[in-house]
Amino acid sequence: MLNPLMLLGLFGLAAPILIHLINRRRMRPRLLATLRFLDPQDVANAFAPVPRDVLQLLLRLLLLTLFILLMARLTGPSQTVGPRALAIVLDNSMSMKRLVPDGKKTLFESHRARILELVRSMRPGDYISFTLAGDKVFESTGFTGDRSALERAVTNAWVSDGGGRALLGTLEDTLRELRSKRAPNTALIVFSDQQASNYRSPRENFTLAPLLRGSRIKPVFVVDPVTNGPNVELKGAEFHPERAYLGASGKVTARLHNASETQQVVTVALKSGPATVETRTCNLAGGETAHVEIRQMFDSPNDTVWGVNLSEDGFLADNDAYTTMRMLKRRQVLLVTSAHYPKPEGLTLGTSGADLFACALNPAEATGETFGETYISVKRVLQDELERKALSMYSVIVLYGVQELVPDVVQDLAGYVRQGGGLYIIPDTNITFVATFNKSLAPLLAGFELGDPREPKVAAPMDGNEKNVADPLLLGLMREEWGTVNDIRFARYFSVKEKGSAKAALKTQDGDILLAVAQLGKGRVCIQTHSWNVEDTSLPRSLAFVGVAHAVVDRLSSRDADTEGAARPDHIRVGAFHRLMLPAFRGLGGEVTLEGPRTYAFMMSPEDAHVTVKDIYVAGAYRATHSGKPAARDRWLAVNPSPDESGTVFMTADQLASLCGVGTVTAPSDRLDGLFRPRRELLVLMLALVFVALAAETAGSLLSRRKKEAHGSGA
Amino acid sequence: MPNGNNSLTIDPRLLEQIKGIELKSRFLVRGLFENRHRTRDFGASNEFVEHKDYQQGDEIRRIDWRAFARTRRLYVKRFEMEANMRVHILLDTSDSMRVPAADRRPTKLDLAATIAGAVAMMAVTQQDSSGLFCLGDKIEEAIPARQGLRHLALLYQHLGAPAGKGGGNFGQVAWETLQRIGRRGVVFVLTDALDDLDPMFETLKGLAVREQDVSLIQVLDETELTFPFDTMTEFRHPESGQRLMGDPLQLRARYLERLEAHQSRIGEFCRQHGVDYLRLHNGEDLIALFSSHFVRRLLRGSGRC
Repeated sequence: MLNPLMLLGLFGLAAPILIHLINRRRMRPRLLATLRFLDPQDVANAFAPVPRDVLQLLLRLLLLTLFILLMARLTGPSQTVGPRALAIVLDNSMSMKRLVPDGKKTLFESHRARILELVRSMRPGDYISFTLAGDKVFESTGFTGDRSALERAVTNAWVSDGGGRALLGTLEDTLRELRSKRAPNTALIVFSDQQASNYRSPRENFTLAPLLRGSRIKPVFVVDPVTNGPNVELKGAEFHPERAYLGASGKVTARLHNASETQQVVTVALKSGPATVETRTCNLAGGETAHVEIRQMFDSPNDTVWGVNLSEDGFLADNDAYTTMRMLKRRQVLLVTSAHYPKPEGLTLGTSGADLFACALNPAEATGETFGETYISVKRVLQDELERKALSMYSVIVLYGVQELVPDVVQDLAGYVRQGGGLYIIPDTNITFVATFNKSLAPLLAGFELGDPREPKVAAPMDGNEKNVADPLLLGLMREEWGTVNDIRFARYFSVKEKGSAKAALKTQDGDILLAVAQLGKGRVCIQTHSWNVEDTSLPRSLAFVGVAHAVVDRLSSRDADTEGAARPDHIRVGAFHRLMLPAFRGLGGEVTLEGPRTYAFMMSPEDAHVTVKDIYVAGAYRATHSGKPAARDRWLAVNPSPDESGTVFMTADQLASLCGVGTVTAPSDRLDGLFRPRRELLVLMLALVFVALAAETAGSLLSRRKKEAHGSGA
Repeated sequence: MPNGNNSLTIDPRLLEQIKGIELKSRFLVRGLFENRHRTRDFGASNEFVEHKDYQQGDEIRRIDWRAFARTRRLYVKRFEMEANMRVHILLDTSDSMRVPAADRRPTKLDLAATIAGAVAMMAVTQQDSSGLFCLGDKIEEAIPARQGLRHLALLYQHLGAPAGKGGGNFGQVAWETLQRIGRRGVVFVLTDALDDLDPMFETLKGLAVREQDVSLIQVLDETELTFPFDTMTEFRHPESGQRLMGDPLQLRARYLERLEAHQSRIGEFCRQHGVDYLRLHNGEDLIALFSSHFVRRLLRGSGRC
């Protein structure tokens, strides 16, 4: 019996019986003047069954029964298994990479081979659908009898490094589709490792039982044994800092988790390509999570992708993680000073504000020593040499103590800033004549004008209240992130006559502006009201001075930073969306190819400098290339596997039964042949019987009616 | 047939058919008014019957002077008397006559009333008297026989909605009419004759003894004759209210057998006692049947007792 629920219709047999009885009991009395001629003995048998009525009742009951059985799609014994409709769902989550006990194949490969056997054993009339599902549905053939198409789909099935979030939804959708199939043998066969995390639904008390109730679908969960040895999971690895300058060092932090209950010793290896750079041995107790840090110095100017690998354990797929290292370009700073601040000769370290500033930006360069090299190169010139310099080579130009420039140079500087350059103006209370300064550099000041010099009797402390500044440039200073600020005082500085469009970034506690930032075209101008001379302020003598110098330079050269894609590091989880910044391909448009374990292509608009990466479900390092610019600087995307697939909790037969209701079958893949009994639907026979019964009933009714008409009865 | 105005309406085709058919008695009648029906009394018709000796008080103008001339004795000539005929209609108006018929057919009472109306029409048309007795549980209506169209209208008014209820003792009730009907006339008994026959037979005998030309017209429903029911049915007698339920197919054979015996008994009685007997049902063509019956009745002629 294929559809037992339809057998509930047998209760409908009570209807004609009740009608029959009611008709017998609720007869309308008929007046008959000749009643005396009726034989009382015959009348006494009135309640005896009337053969004709009983025959008609039985005929109707038979008709109804046959119809119900037809609807229930009665099956009978057969030589072979009748037509089948099989919905095969293959889990391609990362946990399917576990090895089967023979150690040669993964569970996914084993299941795929078994599915191929099922497909090849298709007979005419069979319909099979194959669905490959993990974090999403990767392949769905729909129900088809085309064996070659199914073989092709199964053969091309691949295992992802993602999870199985879509598995439960796929089962639900497949069941809905399967319910409409008329084949007498219908089954949903789930090839999965039945990892419990993949069967959790966000819906409370979710179950597939309602879809299976009243249907003939046989839910079959293929449960094959896997090698479930001790497993240490590599949950991820990240560099800090995420970007580094050439020669700088960073550390990669790998997060390990011992998913087994026994103590494990693993070797963590940091790899650049196939070569192992450094290894570290780690001893983890059962269930313990550890962070392992491996330091690495970057001596290549190229961006690279790094792999972190664990030594072999029971589950190899979660032993790899990938991370990228982006090499930053060096910043070129042109320090323009007045003649009062000549460049120190030789290895002499000056003590002027200009010297201190240059030293703060790059100590190694200023002192001539190897220690203290930074990513900032400082080119120091006198103001007379400025007109001979190619300004566009520099990220930031610093005017230190300069009070007047020839108009052409000012125009050049203004054009440089408007095109996106950064200009840092530092006046000197000793040598700067305010009127000349305001007039000569007016095109660079965005309405900002210096006032008279101010020399408070007590050196003014800086204002640490963040609410009083409009620009967050020096928040690090005010929050003491770069060093203590208690001793920082400002003894001499200019007052501000006109602020213009500039925003204050630092003030004294009296409210005098010490530093302001103004937008000028695409670039920015940073105007200071004091010098870095130690007579003017004590800031250069504090550790925070380095932070201030770097913050200002970074901020003024932020356009470069934007183009380098400072937003997020380029490492993602499988299946995640990611905006991969590709400034080198700006304006090219077309297709950007990501080459790695698999090759993906994403379209990029000519107006954009990025592509939106999505649906990468194979973990690994992917290099972005564009056919229009093959020699472009390498950009890498690290795709890491799903973190949820290392669990060792699997669905039990009882849990699967509670998920699908009674009738759930859990069987190893090699015992699927006996899934269906050799029965065949008796559709033709049942149709013939229904037709015969219907014809007989119709003929009986017609005869009865004709008889009544012939008698002229008023019945 | 009865209509909404409580006055009987007869199909004109039936009236056309009975037009010209003389309603005569097989026996000598007795009437007050001169008409064409022969009576036992002597009267002033042209039919010479006999001579009788003149007695004092006889009309002088009746003396046969030719016979006196030959015999010198006074003889008086006696002639037949031709008088009008009194036609009485005994109409069974019991509940059994009122059983609704199927397929919009007339009920037995409708049919009987129509026949009664036609008979009354025939009688009045030939200047005879007609009277009506409606018989239910008792004599519901008793209209003496009279002549004339106004009397006919009165009869039709009563036949349009015949009074009566109950039933089951038609013979006994009819017996009570014998004194009112008198002697030597024509009596039409219109009934379904489904009650006990013996009282009815006694009544018919009583009418025959009184030299009435009796016609028994048995009006039945077709379903009573054929019993066409085929589904389990609960039957109820319209008069006694008795209920019986059964499968008609099982009951039918015995029913028809008993009904046939009943009908045979009526027929046998009528043959033995000279009662004119007509059986009809509401499925038949009344016009043809009725007119042919009266033609046969006329051709059979009249006798003298």
